[in-house]
Amino acid sequence: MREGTVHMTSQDRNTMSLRVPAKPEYLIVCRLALNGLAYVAPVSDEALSDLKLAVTEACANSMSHAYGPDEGFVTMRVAVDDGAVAIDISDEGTGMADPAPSPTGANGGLDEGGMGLALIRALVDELEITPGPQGAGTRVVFRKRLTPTV
Amino acid sequence: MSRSSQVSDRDLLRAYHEQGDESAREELIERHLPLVRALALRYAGRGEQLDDLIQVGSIGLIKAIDRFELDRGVQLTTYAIPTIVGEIKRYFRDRTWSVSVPRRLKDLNLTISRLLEELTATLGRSPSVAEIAEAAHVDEEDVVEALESGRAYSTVLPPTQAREEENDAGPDPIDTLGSVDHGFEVSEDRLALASGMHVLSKRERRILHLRFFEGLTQSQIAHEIGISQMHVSRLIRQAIDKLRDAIEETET
Repeated sequence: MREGTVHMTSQDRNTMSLRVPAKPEYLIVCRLALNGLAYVAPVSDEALSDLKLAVTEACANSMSHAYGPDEGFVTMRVAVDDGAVAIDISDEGTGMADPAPSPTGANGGLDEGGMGLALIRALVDELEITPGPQGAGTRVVFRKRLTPTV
Repeated sequence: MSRSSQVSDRDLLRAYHEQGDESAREELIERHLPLVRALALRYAGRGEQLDDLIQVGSIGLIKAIDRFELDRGVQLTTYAIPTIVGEIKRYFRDRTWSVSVPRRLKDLNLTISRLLEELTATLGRSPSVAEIAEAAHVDEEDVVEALESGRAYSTVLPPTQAREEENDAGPDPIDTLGSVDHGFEVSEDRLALASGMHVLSKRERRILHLRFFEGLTQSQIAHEIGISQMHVSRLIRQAIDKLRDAIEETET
């Protein structure tokens, strides 16, 4: 079995990119990478916590559903610009299960994936879900302002 | 007692908001408690009890049910999640992010400091993050964050190789203070402190160790060493003075 690898590049001055195996144990790598944000941008503890939770939810979707038993990767890109943090998480898997909530179902009417997305929406200012970069998989992009709007 | 799940959230909301049916409200609350719990779980493990988080989350749920507007075309769950998360976050803001998190980090740092010493002594090498996390009963992420925050290492001895096996208890942690560990940045303060350590007698080192690394009180140290608490107090002050002098000397 192939060992997982973490590949990291800095594409430009304000973007970091992290590509990790789509396995739950690599989630911590993505979360820890966000800690570094506090050094390059004025991110409050609370905002950092929101971003980590959002990343956790987005990665959890990709890591537990996207590839089934196949091996794959999850890519996280983090950019800081204009007083906001933008995070882009994508996989090249089979795409997400239908995130639409069931009207009355168990678990509060949402499956885990649906709840994850609704949770991300509650934590960030903008959220966009599209097919992955090559048409396969899922891409979750969100953006959080660093100064709260009143 | 709960109604058939055939009855939709919307029906229940209508019964509650339009007919004042309190049992419909109860049913909605009960039905969505798993959602509250799922959200609370995501915030657990930060020094707050899950039960407390579920409780404040439930307040958010009830607010969402009470404020729900039937003519808005959203699902109750979609509407409730931000409200529930909002309450949980408010709870953290009030209690934790302002007070307990620094406190918790501080406590964790103390724990890690102690474990680093203990594990270094018992293993005869630097413990891994996983080993520290296991011993501290916290996540590895917590350990890394505490270390990364730099605070842990301001009061911590460097994990280091066992340099000699002169006694069974492993290396005296104080003796390892001056050695540079390759895994971590060594702060200037610690270098300065380490370079001054040689001016202390063995007993003074031991007392400082017990006081500042083990966190014992002066009375406990007095008991441990078999001298009076007054004497301990005097020795600590004396040792600190010596260290300060030695450090100032190296700096000038």
